[in-house]
Amino acid sequence: MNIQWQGVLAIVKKDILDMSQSKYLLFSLFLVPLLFGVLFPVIYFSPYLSGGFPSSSNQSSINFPLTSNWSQLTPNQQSFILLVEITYFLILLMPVIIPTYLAADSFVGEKDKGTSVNLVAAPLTDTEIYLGKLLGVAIPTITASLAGDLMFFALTSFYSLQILGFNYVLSFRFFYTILVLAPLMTLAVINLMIWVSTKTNSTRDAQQYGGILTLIAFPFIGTIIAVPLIFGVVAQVIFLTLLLILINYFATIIGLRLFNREKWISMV
Amino acid sequence: MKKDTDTLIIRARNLSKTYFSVTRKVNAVSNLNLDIEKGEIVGLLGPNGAGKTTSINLLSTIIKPTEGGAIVNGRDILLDDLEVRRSIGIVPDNPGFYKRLTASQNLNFYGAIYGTAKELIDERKEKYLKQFDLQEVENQKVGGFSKGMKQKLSIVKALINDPEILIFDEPWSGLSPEAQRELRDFLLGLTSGKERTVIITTHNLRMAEELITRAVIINHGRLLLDKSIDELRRDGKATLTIQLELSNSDQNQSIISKYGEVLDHEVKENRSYFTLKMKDEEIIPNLIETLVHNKIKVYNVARRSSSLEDVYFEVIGNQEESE
Repeated sequence: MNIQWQGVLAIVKKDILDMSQSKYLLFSLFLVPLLFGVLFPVIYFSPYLSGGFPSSSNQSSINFPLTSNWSQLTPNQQSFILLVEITYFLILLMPVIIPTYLAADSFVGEKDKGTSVNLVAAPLTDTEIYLGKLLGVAIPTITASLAGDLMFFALTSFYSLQILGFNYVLSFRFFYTILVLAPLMTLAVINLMIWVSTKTNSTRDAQQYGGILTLIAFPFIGTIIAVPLIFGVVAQVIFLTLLLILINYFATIIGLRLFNREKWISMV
Repeated sequence: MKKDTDTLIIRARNLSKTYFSVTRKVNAVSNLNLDIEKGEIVGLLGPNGAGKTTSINLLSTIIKPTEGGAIVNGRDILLDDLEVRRSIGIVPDNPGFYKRLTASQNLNFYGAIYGTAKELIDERKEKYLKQFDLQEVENQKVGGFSKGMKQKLSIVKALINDPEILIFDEPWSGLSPEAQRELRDFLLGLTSGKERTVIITTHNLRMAEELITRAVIINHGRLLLDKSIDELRRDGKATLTIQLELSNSDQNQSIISKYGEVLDHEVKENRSYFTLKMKDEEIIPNLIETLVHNKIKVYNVARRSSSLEDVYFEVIGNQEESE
């Protein structure tokens, strides 16, 4: 298929520029990474600097080895590691939450504004419009969640060095999560939102339906992938990554089929 | 009407669009045959739901026909839709813009998706924004624009890729009388060189009559009339309408109805007013002679040639009667 990238890039640039002018969307783009990347580590890990949570410092050793020196760690240090794992899983919600708002505004927003007619009247194929919209949401989302992940990494590394004496989060697993897993989940959410957008008439409806669906489906997928990651089962991680790539591939194909220009303008 | 195929910019044959739903089937456009020459200003007229917007959406390849086809600017709408779209500028009914972006940013975007070079976008922006007195608001967000300003900006947007064909869907709706006149004058200027072809769908028949060179009337998706304004004026002579102002008399109605079809009759104070449709202007002297002979005073005789509005209502009325 011959794709004219000039048109695709024009849509991407316009969408990012349009988002940058919306306080509401900027709020989602900045607040979510700050919440997950800064607020969560500070709230959860700061008590460990002053001796840990009272309950964890008094408890006996946890029989759940996550490091090779697990038996040499204090119960307080062990509980810190468990908490890092829980928050580490929570940051997977970032690439799920952010695109829900952005994709709804990008797709259904064109219908709301009455601009979809102008877009389909332009010399662009359905694939070019679809790709432009997909990338227009994916680029800011992946950038924002990457920023949140890096803030989380920096802060958690600091706490880890202070509490454990070594950096627990500096691992292949972490970089795999932020560079492979999070972008793949972002694309999957955007595709899902496009499906939802083809069935709804207003941005608000798309956000509500899409939000519910993503919050049900994606933490589930995230858990399936995160568990082998925690235990370092490489074969399962590769298999699940390939599965996620396949899900995205088919989601894009189905999305392209569902993206019907006639329906898109008739629903305005 | 037979046309020279070399000068045709649009040639539609049996163009049809049917929408199917679970409960019914709607023929939005049925077997539309249309030939439009380069440089023509065509008024696509018809009541709400007649199929006007569907017709222009078909010709501009926004939607695909269920049957038939068309050649637009030498390209097949089914095989070469991208090139067809490249040659058309559309001003939709609702001038949609990205309200968080400025007028200039909106135009840059539309220029870019048509593949227009940046220098050309800047050149055309300057030219047309100045023409529409929008230069001062070029860097303001469109969200703060009035409907009239958005409509003008929508025309600039349609011109940004310098298209051969311009399509306007209800361009006068929601505009003030001043803005309507301004738009009409602009369109007249735009087409004076006969280089651009313009298709307008509108309910504003008065404005259309001052602008269009051809009237195409459709209803229920079917073509009812396709004639040049000159032809319509000539036809109007054949169905001459006159208005009479007479003194009141019991004989008025009976005398007048012998000479033509009484379209309207009104009595105000001591005068009677008649609107009469007749076949031949030679009937007028005979009618006046008869009235005078019967001691009926004739205060005024006004000849009214058939207007686009009359033609429109006659065509639509005839169709509805036949159904």
